[in-house]
Formats: sequence, structure tokens, C-alpha cells
Amino acid sequence: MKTFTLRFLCADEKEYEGPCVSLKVPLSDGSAGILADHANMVAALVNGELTFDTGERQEIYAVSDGLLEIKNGEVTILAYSAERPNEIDENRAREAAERARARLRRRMSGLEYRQSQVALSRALNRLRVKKGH
Amino acid sequence: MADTKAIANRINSIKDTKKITNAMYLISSTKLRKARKSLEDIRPFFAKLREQIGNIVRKIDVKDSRYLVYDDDPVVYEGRTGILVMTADKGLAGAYNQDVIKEALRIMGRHPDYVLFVMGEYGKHYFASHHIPVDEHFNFADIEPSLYQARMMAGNIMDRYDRGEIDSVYVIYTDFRNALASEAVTYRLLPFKISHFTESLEEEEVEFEYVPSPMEVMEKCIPVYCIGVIYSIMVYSFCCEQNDRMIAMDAANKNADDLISTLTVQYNRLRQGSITQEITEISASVKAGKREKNQ
Repeated sequence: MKTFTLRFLCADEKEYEGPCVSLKVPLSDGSAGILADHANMVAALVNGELTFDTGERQEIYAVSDGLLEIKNGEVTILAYSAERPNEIDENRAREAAERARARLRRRMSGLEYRQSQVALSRALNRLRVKKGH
Repeated sequence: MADTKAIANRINSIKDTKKITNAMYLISSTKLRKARKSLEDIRPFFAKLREQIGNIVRKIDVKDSRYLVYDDDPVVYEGRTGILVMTADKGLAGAYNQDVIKEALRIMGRHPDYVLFVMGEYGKHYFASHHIPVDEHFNFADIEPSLYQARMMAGNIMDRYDRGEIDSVYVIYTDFRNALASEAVTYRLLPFKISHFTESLEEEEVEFEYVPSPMEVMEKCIPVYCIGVIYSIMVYSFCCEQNDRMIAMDAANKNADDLISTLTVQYNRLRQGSITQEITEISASVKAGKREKNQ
């Protein structure tokens, strides 16, 4: 299989840089698969599961907001946060989800409501990625 | 002999104080180094984000975005302004806090309709004691800067901006003027000038397909980018605070050394004086004794 260069950065760390065979990213209109020689593209990344195949191994991450850029066949992923399933603390994520749900049930200001919604979506995403693998 | 004892006590107490100021100096220098390194860690991510926003800015009509203005647009004086003031939790850092507050008061004078967001205990105390209302929901201590904290802060401010509660955001923080001196500066966070994104951009023509659309990609990137800006501002302020504290503590150390050396000289003189006096007294009395025997 033809490979392409993948650069995968999260806010304060470089997660991966090297060859990649295939890549699956969460975009606003669903999951998108990317292979070598993809057309130039820039897309907004949403909370979800990101997987890629380096040719030797399969990598899975739970990612949050960010950006995907494909430029001259090279792919750069900027995800504000990225965690492997084994880095996710299931209990903590479940507690976070519970807390966010409890907060959402209470009457509260618009700001807290939106922040709780975002927190809930992040926690659920972590749990989903953790459970799947 | 009471005098020498008092001086010895004083020397000891100055030595103890110097131990503390010296420790503070060392702590600040470690914190400074650590903070500088953490800034290097986030640079690649936010530099790339900025570049991509720059590409998009060139393609869209800037007027359609509430996050951007043209450079030559007059500064937004109308509407409500959010002013974010970065102070420290502690003093003992020269004029660090006072300079930030002075600058904040100047900006507040220019924008009569403002909401104050204050970080750090020092600033909160200042505004509370001067009966200047600050935003109560904005509660952050000035611990070591963390991305988590920057994200909460940016989220809070962006949310208000998005809902139109504030029409512009200024940040007052401390930055290095050169390697030695720092100064309080004002930076307009929102709306961004387009040159902020385009100035460092290389001229290259790569056509991208934007999913879902350039505008939507950008609107999604800017809140994330703001986290980076706020984080770097936090780190700059933190570094300056530590640097100012190092300078203040260094001066305190030198001062202590000077005091100790003058006092030691004084102490030795007094001690020597009293010894000489004793010897004189003894030898005089011995002489007197001898004279009595001879007679």
C-alpha cells in the first residue's frame, strides 16, 4: 500500500510523525477515511475517534476539537487533546459524564449549560473510545 | 557588652532573612525555566493553527466574521469591552502588580463601558478595596500556567463574546521589553486584526477544499486559537513575574550582604575595643600592684 506522511499534534505534544497507510478522522459530517494522494483539503475536526494504520500497527485516539490539513499529499492533524484508550481513565470519564449530566439537569446560566454540554460530549467520547477497544 | 550582643543578634536575623530571599530567588529561577519550556511545547500546534487561519482569512469576506476586523478599521470604542487583567497572587516582585493595575486603570478610563475579568489575588484585592466591580464568575488564581486553566478562561470569555455580551476583549499583561526589563502592555484579543494571521504567512498558492466551508472551519479554529493566545500571555506574565521577583530578591540579597558586612565591622570594632580596654585595665592594675609591693 502506498503511504503518506502524517503529522499528528495535540496542544502540547507531538503524538506521531511518520508514514501512514490509512487514516480515519471525525469530521462535522461524520467519519472520513483518508488514503495516500488525497486532494488538498482543510477540515474542522470534531470530538470523536481517530484511527490510523502506520503499516505496522493500528493506532486509536479519542480526539477533541481541531483541524485537519492535507497539503501536497502530507497530512497534518491538530487536535486540542488526544488520548489513547489505555490513557483514558474509565472511572474518571464516567464520573465526569455523570457530573455533567447532573449539572445539565439543574437550572443554570447559559454559560454553565454550554460548558456542561461540551464536558459531557468529551466524556462520552472518551468512554466510547475506551469501550470500543 | 550589651552592644555587641545586640549587633550579633541583628546580624543573625539578617542572615535568616537572606536565607528566605535567596530561596525565593532560586524558586523563581526554576519556575521561570519550567514555564519557558512549556511555551516551547505548545508552539508547533498553535503556529500551524495560525498559519491555516491565515490561509482562510485571505479567502473569506472578513466582514462576515465577528472574530476579525481589517487592520485599518478604527479601534472599536463603542460597545462593551471585556478587560482581562493578569496580576499575581503574591507581591514581593518589584512593581509588577502595580504596573499592571496602572495600565488597567488607563484602559478603563478609555472604555467607560467595561467588564473586568481579574486573574490573581493581588488584582482582586485592589479592585475590591477600591469598590470597582469585577466579574464574579471569573475566578482564577495565578498558579503556574496550565493549558487547562487557559481553556477555562478562554471558554468563559469566548462564550460572552459569542453571545454579544461584550464586543471586544483587551488583555493587560506583562511582557519583556528586553532581557532585563518588563512592562505592562495591552493587547486586543478580540476581534483579531487580520494581519495577526497573515503577517508571518509565506506567499504560496495552495488551493484547499474546505469542509464544511472556509468560514465554518475558521469559526471552529479561532476559539481553540484563543486558548493558545491566552496560554502564552499567561506564560509571559508568569515569566515576567518570576523575573521581577528574581530581580527584587537579588537586590534584597545584595542589601543583606552590605548590611552584614557593615555590621560585622562594627561588631569586630566594638569587640576589639572592649578587649583592648580589658587588657589596659588588667595591665594597669598589675602595674599598680607591683608599685605597691616595691614601696
